[in-house]
Amino acid sequence: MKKLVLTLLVLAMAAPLSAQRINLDFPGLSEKASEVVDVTLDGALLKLASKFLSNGDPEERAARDIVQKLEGIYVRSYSFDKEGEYDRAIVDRLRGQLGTSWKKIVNVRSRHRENSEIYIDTRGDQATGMLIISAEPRELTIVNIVGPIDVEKLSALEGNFGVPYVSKDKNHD
Amino acid sequence: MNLDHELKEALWRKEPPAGFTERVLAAIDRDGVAVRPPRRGWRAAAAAALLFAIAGGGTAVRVIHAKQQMLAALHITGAKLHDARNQVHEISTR
Repeated sequence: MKKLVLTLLVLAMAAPLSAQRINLDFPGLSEKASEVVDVTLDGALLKLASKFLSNGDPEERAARDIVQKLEGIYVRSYSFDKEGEYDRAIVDRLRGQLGTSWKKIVNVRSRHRENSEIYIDTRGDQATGMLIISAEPRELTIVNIVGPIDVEKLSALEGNFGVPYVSKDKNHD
Repeated sequence: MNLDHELKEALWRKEPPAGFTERVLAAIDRDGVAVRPPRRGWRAAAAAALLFAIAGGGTAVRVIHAKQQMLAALHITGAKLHDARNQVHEISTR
């Protein structure tokens, strides 16, 4: 009995430290889409892949810095031929999965362009997860990053991976 | 002797001496050379090499695929973060 209590106590203490993976299964959506990008990389695969990133390539070096502590990256991106081919309730279902530790840090609503929402899962001072929802009339993209996120390193995406600089202090744009 | 003649001599089909075939067949029957199975060690080594090649190849393909997926995921993440930041930037500078 003592062992059971101890185990439960350890699990209860450990649970808040583990990042939350969002359920990104949307039955039937792939069939409607004209193009689908589905990336599912758990921690083991990320570690394996990052070992084969080149030190000489700045983009791959930046990638290694970003993913080295992550537990998973999950991306679903659906492109559609016509507007309104996906159910906007999907976005509500995604939001519904977020616990109280998730904080919305960006919310952009546009009538003609995409609606962007960015959420961060914070445990203490540490960001342990991220969810990006980008809903356009003909495209829906969801990115779920699981694990401790170094925001400084994430900003290294700017200028890499085909992402242009947008910061005012950098004149690369 | 010229080269043509030397080649003709060397490549000329010669008949074997009388009783050559019988002697070879008798030797095979006696020593069992032709019917001796390959050594087990060689078989095991060949099988291991084949398995290693298949497994190694599979891992390499898996790693390359994972790396491509990871870079693609970061491309998409970066692009979406950029778009959101760009929109916020546009709104704030209006």
